[in-house]
Amino acid sequence: MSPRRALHGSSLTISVNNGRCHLYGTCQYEAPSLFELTEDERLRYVTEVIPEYADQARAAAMACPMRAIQLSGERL
Amino acid sequence: MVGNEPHRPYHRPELSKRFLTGRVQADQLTLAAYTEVDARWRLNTAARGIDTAKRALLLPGGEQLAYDGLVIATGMESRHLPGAPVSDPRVHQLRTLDDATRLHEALSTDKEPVVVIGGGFTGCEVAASIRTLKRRVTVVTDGPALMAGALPPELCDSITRLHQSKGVGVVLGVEVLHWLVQDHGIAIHLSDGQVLVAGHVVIAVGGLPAVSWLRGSKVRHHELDGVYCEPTCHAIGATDVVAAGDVACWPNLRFDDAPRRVEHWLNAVEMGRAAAENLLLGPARATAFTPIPRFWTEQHRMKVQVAGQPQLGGEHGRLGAGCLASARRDGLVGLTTVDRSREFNRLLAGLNARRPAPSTRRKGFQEPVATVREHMHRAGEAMRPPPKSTPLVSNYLPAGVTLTPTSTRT
Repeated sequence: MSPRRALHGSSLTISVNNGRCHLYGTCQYEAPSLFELTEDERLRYVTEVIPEYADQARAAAMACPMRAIQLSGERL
Repeated sequence: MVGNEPHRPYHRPELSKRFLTGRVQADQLTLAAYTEVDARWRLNTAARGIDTAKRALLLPGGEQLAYDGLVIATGMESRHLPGAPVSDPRVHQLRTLDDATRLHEALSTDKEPVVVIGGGFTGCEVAASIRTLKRRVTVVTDGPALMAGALPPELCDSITRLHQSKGVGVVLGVEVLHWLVQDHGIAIHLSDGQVLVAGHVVIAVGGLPAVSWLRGSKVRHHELDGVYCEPTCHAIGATDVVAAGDVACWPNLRFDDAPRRVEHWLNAVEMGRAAAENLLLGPARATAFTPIPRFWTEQHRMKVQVAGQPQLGGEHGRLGAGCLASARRDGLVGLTTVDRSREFNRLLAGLNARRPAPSTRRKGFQEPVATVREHMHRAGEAMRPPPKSTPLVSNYLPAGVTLTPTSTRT
């Protein structure tokens, strides 16, 4: 199952504040299907996720050393 | 929620870093809640004790708060340095938001030199932040290097040189003999004969678990060890009391059955969740809390990330540029990387596989056998040497990683 939101499904939105993010990659450890540090030292992440992955997204946001991850959406 | 601070929970790691440099303001430190917490907040309220038989938390003024389940998460209190003039407004500690606010305000009133006593996480981070503000700052420690005992010795030497190269004064291996409070500054006499005169002093010599309020209660605790817990975070002998965070002393069965405390933020986040879940499940259904502890520090823009418990390792080896492994007799115990987050996650996955949580450990697991007698160099004495028969770090590396022995000094 892909963590990405299906069309018209209820969803959770992830946004990362680039000014705050120091690329520790803690989010990738908590939620490997949602976050990835790339080879060129950038953070790739899924912006719209289905509710099944909300727990992972929450864990990643709570564990972020820089508190750079914001979550919003219908079902937190 | 009962807490002795006037504030709701906030992001403490930032206090010694960007809060001190003014990059982050107090209102940006609040923690987001991702679920609706139906709680009554009793801030500014220090718990006085627990009556476990009556299931009541004792509050000031004789008030009692009945509970069905209790989470002890009182954290740490700053350790005092005997003889230090702590009542002088120029002498600071850094644990709470109020401490940090007071220090930040004091630093903005003048350009006097600052002396930081203590070369651990807080001391080093505070010194780096103060130096970022282009101020004169000196770190004084009784250790052989900055961060000694907390990180592999080779890295402690690098961090010490990094601070020096950024203009931080570093005085190693000394103790404070006595203090002289004067109008123009505080004179600090050191055991090597030096006298430092500071406009501000930050005392960062570590902390003690906040357990004095438990005196006389049935909750087993110790002034250095904190609250003794089962592997499930339950307080020893209790079914309805758990502890989490810096105050909790529990055996992490992934490593061994010795109870230890972990004084790091990410562990407090994870253990808080585990303790709450186990409290709700009850001791019979609770599962052991067996994390790979992880922590980080950032000093002069250098990012150090640590997984596991490198301080348990007697051998430290290099896994290539910026990556160190620490091992003891039964294998890999810790990983440390410098400015290599991607590599950190890859190695962390390897550590997770090499040192699995007990429930996932395969039966009849074969310990690797040392084949190459290549000895790892050990610098410093903060980490104890391993027994003679210790297998090499290289036998426990994640797949595909090669090891270069650490050089004496690079």
